[in-house]
Amino acid sequence: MPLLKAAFKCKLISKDLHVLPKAFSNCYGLLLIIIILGFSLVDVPKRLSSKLDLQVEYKHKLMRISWYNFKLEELQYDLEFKLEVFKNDLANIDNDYIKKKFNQLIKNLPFKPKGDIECAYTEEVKGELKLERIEKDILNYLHIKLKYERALHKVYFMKRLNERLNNEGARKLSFHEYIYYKYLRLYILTPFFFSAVLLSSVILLSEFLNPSDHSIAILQATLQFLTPFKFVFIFNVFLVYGFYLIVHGILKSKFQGFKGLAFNNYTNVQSLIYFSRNISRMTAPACFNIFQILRLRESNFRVIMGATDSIPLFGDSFMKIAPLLLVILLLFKYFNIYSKVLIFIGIKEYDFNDLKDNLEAVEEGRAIVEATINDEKTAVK
Amino acid sequence: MLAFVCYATIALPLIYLLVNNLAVKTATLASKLLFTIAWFITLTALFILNIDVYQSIIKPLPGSDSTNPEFLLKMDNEYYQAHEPVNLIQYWRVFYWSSLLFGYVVFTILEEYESQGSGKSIFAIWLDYYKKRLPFFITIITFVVCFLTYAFVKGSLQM
Repeated sequence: MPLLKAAFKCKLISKDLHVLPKAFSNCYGLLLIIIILGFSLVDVPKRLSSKLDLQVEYKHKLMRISWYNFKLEELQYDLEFKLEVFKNDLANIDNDYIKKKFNQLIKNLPFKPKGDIECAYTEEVKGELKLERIEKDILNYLHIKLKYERALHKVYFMKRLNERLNNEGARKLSFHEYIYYKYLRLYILTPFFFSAVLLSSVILLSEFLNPSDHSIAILQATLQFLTPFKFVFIFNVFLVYGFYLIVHGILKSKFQGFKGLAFNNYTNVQSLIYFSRNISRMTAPACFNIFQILRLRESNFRVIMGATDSIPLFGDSFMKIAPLLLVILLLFKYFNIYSKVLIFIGIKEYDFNDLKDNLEAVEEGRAIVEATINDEKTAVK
Repeated sequence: MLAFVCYATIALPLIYLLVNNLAVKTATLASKLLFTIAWFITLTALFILNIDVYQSIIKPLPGSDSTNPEFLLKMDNEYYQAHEPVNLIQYWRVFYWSSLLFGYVVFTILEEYESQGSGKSIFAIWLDYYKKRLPFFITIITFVVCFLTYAFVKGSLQM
């Protein structure tokens, strides 16, 4: 007891206890931000550049359609079996709620289970076939079907547009449509692309200069030419872009259970939890990082944050290492080193560069689109 | 305070409508409200960040000579003298700890609750959660104990 009293009298311990959870959460949040920025800082400008050329965008959409079609076939095969087995077992379940919910779930599916499959399945499989699991699988299937239909709709539009731009087809484009798609579109989208590149470069540079004293010189030089209102306006442009990069990174992450966000009640609760949890964990460290970059030590945020330099490794030391990690991750993403490492090891199934040209997928996508158009024409006749 | 209440009155329903449009129809009201509050906290933190950055830059920069009028050249002196800086410490404290509470505790419980389905108490869900991740928590506790020992030894040597 006297030892504990002595320990708590010592300001070092009582102060550090207070700062310890902040330092941990700050460090973890910052690590997540660095990983996401290392991906998004390259990915967002790359995606914008692929939209500049209509032909390139058309090819990428065809590749998407090919991937969605493959995924839908896989999910349908798996789901049909599970639904058949579950429906077969439903007769033995004396629970009206489960029966009602099951019928509600299969209402929107294009295929309906008959329930006449007979197979001996193990207790483990029985456990897997819970209603919650089936609901997740159905939602996943419907989600990908929605994305597939949207991509198909976009491809139809681009195919017709292509034909009209080349003066093929019965209906020609109007004058202003022709001018927009042939000439103006490129001039409107190009500034967005260059803005993204500029903003990404400035964010990368500011993170890299964070530990050094050069940032304060840049800030002083900037304030000489701008009024505080103009400075805050420009700051907000970077803030909104930075927030967009983080959201883009989270939405593109392919962790198990996260299926992305979709309107019209297609997002499952697990995906919303994943998204909200990561945003909540990253907000406070992002604010801390911004104040570090701007070197604003007299802010109110700094007062509640306290000094983290007394915590070993997770305090200020991590702040100095993090920017170097960002540069390494950025180079890995830009030169697609992740995929090359996986191919070197022998794992060829995963490819982290979904904008890479894949001629087979393009041809497959084209065949799917032609087949769908022919089916629709036959149905109309 | 009034401005904050007005902002909350407009923002909360809009965010709830967005969450309601995103979430599946089988999602519970409690989970939708939790998402709404979490996103509201994030959005509010961005506004508070703006106010804090603006207030900080209209003061002299750290390390500068505050008596030198050149550093106050472009600063909004009239505004600074006419308005007292807003004390954001309480707002930051509430929103900082709320965002960490949501990020590390609330959504963890909700995720476990959703994955295990209804019928179990929150306490039972918590117990299962810790049992599954025992090695991870042992590592964290070990680190905290080592750090406290280090701080205690350092403090004793200084005394």
